[in-house]
This record gives sequence, structure tokens and C-alpha cells, in this order.
Amino acid sequence: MRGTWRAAWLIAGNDLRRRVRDRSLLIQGVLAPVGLGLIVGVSFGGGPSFSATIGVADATGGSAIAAAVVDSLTSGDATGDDGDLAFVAVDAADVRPDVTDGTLDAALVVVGSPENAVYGTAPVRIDVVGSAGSVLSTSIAESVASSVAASLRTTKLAAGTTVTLTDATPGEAEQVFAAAQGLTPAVVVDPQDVQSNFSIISYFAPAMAMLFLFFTIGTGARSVISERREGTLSRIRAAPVSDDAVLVGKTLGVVVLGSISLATVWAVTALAFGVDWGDPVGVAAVLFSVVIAIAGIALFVTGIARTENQADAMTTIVALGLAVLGGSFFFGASGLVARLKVYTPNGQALNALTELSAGEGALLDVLPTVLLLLLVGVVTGAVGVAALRKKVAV
Amino acid sequence: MNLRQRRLAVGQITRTELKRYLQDRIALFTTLLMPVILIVLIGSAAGSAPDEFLVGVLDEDGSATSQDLLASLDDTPALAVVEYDDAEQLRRDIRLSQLSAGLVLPSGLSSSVDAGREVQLGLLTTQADQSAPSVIAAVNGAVADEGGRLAAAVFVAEQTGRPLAAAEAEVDAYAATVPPAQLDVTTTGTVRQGDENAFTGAVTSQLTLFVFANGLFAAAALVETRRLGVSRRALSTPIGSGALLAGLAGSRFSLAVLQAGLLLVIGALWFGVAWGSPPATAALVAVYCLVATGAGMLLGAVARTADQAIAIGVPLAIGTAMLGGTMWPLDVVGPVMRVIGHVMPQAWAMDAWSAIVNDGAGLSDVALEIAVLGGYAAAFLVAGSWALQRKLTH
Repeated sequence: MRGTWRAAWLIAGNDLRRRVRDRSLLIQGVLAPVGLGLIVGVSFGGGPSFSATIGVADATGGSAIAAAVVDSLTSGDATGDDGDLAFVAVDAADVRPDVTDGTLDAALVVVGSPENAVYGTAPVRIDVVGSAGSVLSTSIAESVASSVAASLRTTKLAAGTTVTLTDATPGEAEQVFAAAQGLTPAVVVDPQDVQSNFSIISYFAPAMAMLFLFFTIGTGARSVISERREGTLSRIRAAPVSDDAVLVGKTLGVVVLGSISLATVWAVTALAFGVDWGDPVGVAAVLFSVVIAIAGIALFVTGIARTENQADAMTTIVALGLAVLGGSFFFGASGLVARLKVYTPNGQALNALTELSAGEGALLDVLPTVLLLLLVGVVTGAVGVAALRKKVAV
Repeated sequence: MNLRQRRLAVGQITRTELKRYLQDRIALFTTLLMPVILIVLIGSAAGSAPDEFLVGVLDEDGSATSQDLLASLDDTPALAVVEYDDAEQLRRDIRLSQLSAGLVLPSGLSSSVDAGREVQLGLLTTQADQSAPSVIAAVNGAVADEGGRLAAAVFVAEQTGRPLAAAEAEVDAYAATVPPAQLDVTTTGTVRQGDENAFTGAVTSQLTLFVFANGLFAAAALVETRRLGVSRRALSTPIGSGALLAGLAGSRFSLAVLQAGLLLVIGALWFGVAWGSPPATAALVAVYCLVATGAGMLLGAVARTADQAIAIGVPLAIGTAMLGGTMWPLDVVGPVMRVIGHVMPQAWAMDAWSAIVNDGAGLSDVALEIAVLGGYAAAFLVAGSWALQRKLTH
């Protein structure tokens, strides 16, 4: 038994040395996942992005209230701190052309007589002009128009009710209306920041690492077939080494290889780019269990394949297929992608890693996923090794 | 060899290479099945442009007032409301980017309103979320009516000395006589096909991604041809290196055109995409297939082994696809990433597709994009042929 383990470690060590010397391991195991994770990180480092430029126009022909509305919206206070929602004053005549050609995402135009709406009996009238292709910008312009209309209505309600109740003279009424100008709404929104250390890199770097893990582990598993073809397997078996030692050695080799690859991606993104993956114990457990799952699947695929080429083809198809279905190319997927994701090992692992990083979970939260991945790995791996045993023995 | 024989030789090499490729199961998977699966997943996941913000609302007050506010938030076109009953869950989903923002209707809201005190609604967003100003504008619009009514009642109570409850009743009675605001929303321009049919963007982006990716993947077969000495044997015949290279390029170009053509047909028949100007579409497909052919020949010349070609080709295909806007539109990334993205041929192809399918552009409208892609094609083909010829003849 001791001899079996010694031989197994020797075989694993030898396989590892050969793979480390091969530059494709460095590219697929580390450079590609980190590089692709970084591309996503740089692209979306600023978080979800939506920006809109909304025009504000006065088509009343000289209303002081309309001029004040345009002025207050475009003076800067109402815009976002970095201009993601910007208001610009425009001529009423330019509104439609500007929205049509995309200079503006939407616009609001004060029409009618706001003075008559506040002091008299006319309704507040605001036209919202949006682009057919930009539904959200149009809706935001509509919300801003609601705020403006509500503000004018507030003055009207406050002053109108007071004047009616006090039977004010025209002179007094004028003073009441002046006092009611610019009343601020009593329900206001208070923006608060939710602290989050989540970096999108901590999703895409492992997502890509798991995709390439299939290729690196697959090559390791296939080495049983290639060594049989090249005759080196017969030479190993000529030595006092059991078939079990060969298979355990090959399996250990791919598991250590996968673990090194994922751990390196974790270390590089954390140390070089300050990405926080969350609770280290939980992360280590998820990464190890997904290596076991992927190694098991790779051994299974290699075991049932008849030839090296067939194993190669099936590994690529399984790797790319699981990457697509497991959401390796989308973050925050909903609908069909989210439903399919849970049926793939990489999707399960990505959900668990997101739980640890963005959800601030701990080992206990991801333990069911860890156990499930280990189970998948052990079952598929056992079938794969049993099939490979026949190949070794031939 | 005369010209006719040379042409026959090129044709024969092209046919042989095509036959080899079509027998390859991985090739068939990445050529057709994977793009179609991705089109279905991406197209059914979401439209290309969001039309509302998903906002989680935590009603801590549970009063009629808070329910009124909730209803008016629900009625706001820019917002889609999801109710929460756990603050930690709400914060967690914001951190996970599953919500654009969270709104807390605080306990004591109703009593504050009754007492005429200003109410602050906590709007939770992550600092990185650049859509926060737009969400704030939309929520402000939704609560403006209630906030204005309350501010008016406080004003009336102060001016007339009535208790707040009585003032509120007076304001409500007066409000019934005031005509509601008229907000007329009109849209201009036409709905772009990409906004109406989410599969339009999915088909064009996956076509752009996979034609290039397959061009790169074909490099592995080219390396094998080189390694097995097939090319050298072909060179020992009178056909010459020029005809051999033309045959190799011809086969890869034919495959790219075949793949693009099938995706165009599937896009039209299954996903209802209207392809617009035939000359513009044909020119774009032709020049882009040349780009993919050239890139594959270049990689096939520089890679030492087939494994290395795959190890470089897969990450290169994914990385350039991410940067070039085929995994997400370049509209959603910052200006720097948009410029970097246009170093990739994919970005120019995506610009041209968008113009053709969304804006009805003709050949002359996309002349710039096609010219740039022509430049890439020429550069890749010349460099690839030169490098391959050197490898084959030295």
C-alpha cells in the first residue's frame, strides 16, 4: 500500500513537472483567467452604468415660472455628481430634432401658461418628448416632469387653500402666493451608500479559470491514453507499479494541477489587484470542491472516449457547453440562464463564490454547494477511473 | 504549371481542407451549435436596452400612507418594484447587483406625515452604481405628489392656525377643484430593430464572435498540417507555395462564409431578424470572413503545436470578443474602453451591423467600417502568408 502511494506521488509529480514546463499551462491556468477577469473589471469597474441627457425647454413664450423651472433644473443641483443624469437648456424648436438625432435622450417642454396654472384654473402642462428607442430615458424625463408639476401644484394647493380659507384680499393673496413659492416637498429621498467590496473580477476570473481548467485537466487525464499510445505506459507497468498506482497518480496530478491553477488566480487577483473574494476558508473550500468536480467530469469524459481525439473533442464540447450554460460569460443573469446555471458545476461554484464575495457569506452558507460539488466529482471520477482502468490494463 | 492547373490545385486543396474540417466534431459544435445556444440564451435573457430600474422596497411602516407611496412607486414607468421584508436581504441583493437600488419606507413614516414633519426615505445604492442619479429622479417623481400635498397642508396650518389634520382635509378638498397636471408623452424616431427584437443584437454579436473565434481555432489544424509534413509533401509537387497558401486560405474563408451564411439564415428564419441592405450585409460578411481567415493563418504560422494554438486561440477569441463589444455593447463601457475596443476588428464589425440592421444603412453608409476591416484583413493575410511561407520553406 505504501509502495502504491509512493509510486502514485512520483507519477503525479512527474506529470506536474511536465505540465509546468509546458507554457500552455501558464497561459490557460493563470494568464488567461486573470487577463480576461481584468478586461471585465476595467470595463465595468465603475459599476452598472446608465446615463441620460435630458433637455429642458420653455415653450410658453415668456413665462417667469417656466424660466425658473428651466433654470432650477439646469443649474447643476439636480444633476448627478458625475453627470450621469444631465439636464441641458434647449430651444423648444430644437427639442424634436435633438431627440431624433440622439443629441438628447429625452426632453421636457413647459407649455401653456404656468402662471395661469398656479394663480388661475388652468392645468399644469408639460410635454415629454422621448426617443422611441430609449424607453428608460423617456420614463425618467416623465418622472422629472411629475416632480416639476407636483412642485407647481404644491404652491397652488398651499396658497389657494389659504386664500380661500382666509378670504384674502387680492393684495394679501399675492403675498400668500409669494410665500408659497418654492415650498419643498415634505417627503424627500435620502441617498445612502451600501458598502460593497465586491469586484466583478472575483466573478469572471474564476469563471474563466474554470473554463480553462477543463482543458488543462482534460490534457492531464488524456495523458493515460497518450502514454499508452507512445508506449511509456507499458514501460511504467513493467516496473513494480500497480495499475492502481498509475491511476491514483494521474488523478492526483490533475487535482493538484487544478488546485494550483485556481489558487494562483485567486492569489494574483487578490494581491496584485486587491480583489476581495470573501471568507478565505469558504473560498478555498469552493475552489477545491470545484476542482474535484471538474477533475471527475474530465476523467469521466476521458474514460468513456474511445480515442485520444474523441476525448479531446468531448472535453472541449463539455468545457464550452458548461461555460455557456453555467453563466461564465454573464454576470447577474436572469431568466433561462439563471435557471440553467444551477445544473452545472461551474455555475454552482460561481453562485457560491458570489455569495462569499458580494453576499458576505461564510463557509456554512456555501457548505451545501461544496458537498454537492464533491459528490459530483467523486461519482463521475469513480466511473471515469473504472473505465480508464480497462484502458491501462489493455 | 499553367494557370488552369494552378486554379484546379487551389480548388482541390480548398475542398480537402473543407472536408477535413467538416468531419471535426468540435468544429461543428463551435461553428453552429454553440452560437445558436448563446443566441437563444442571450436573446431570451433580456432586451438590449433596459426599460426600467428594479428597485427593492422595504416597508417598515406598514401604514396606509406607506402603502400609498408604494402604489405610486409601482405606477412609475421608470421603476419596477419588488417588495422586501428583510433589510439585510435588501442590502445583500443590492450588493449582488440584483437591484438598482433599495428604498426604505421607515417606521414612523405615517406618524411623521400626520405630525407634519419632513420624511426622509433612505435610497440605498452602491457607490459604484452610476445609475443612482436617474433612480433618485424617478423615485422623487413618484413621491412628489404626496410630499407636495403634505408640504401644502403644513403651510396652510401655519398660515391659518388650523390643526394639521384639518389643514390636510382643506387641502384635499381644494385639490379636488384643481385640474390635474397634463403630462403628454410623445416619442420621436422609430423603434430600432435591436430594441424591439433582442435576438437582433444576439445574432449579430454571436456571428461576429464565432466567425473570428473559429478562424483562430482553425489555426490548430493548420499547425497539424505543418507538423505532419502534409504541407511539405504538397510543396514537393509542382503546385508551389503560392497555390498551397491560396488553397489553405480559400478553405478557411469558405468555412467562415458558410458559418456566417448559416447564422444569417437561422437569424432570419428562427429569430426574425431583418437583415437590411443585401450589398452592405454581403460586403460586411465577406470582409469580416477575410479578417478571421487572416487571423487564423497568422496564429497557425506562429504557434508551435496544436495545443499551443488552442491555448492561445481560445483566450484570444474570448478577450478580443469582450474588448470588441460582442459580449456586451460598447455603449455600456466608459470612453477609454470604447477607444481600446476599436483596436479590435470586432468593434468595427459590430458598428457596421448596428448601422445595417438598426438604422437601415446601405453599403456607402458603412464604407468606413468595411474599409477598416479590409485593412485588418490585408494586414493579417499578408503577415500570415509570409510567416507560413517562411515556416514551410525554411
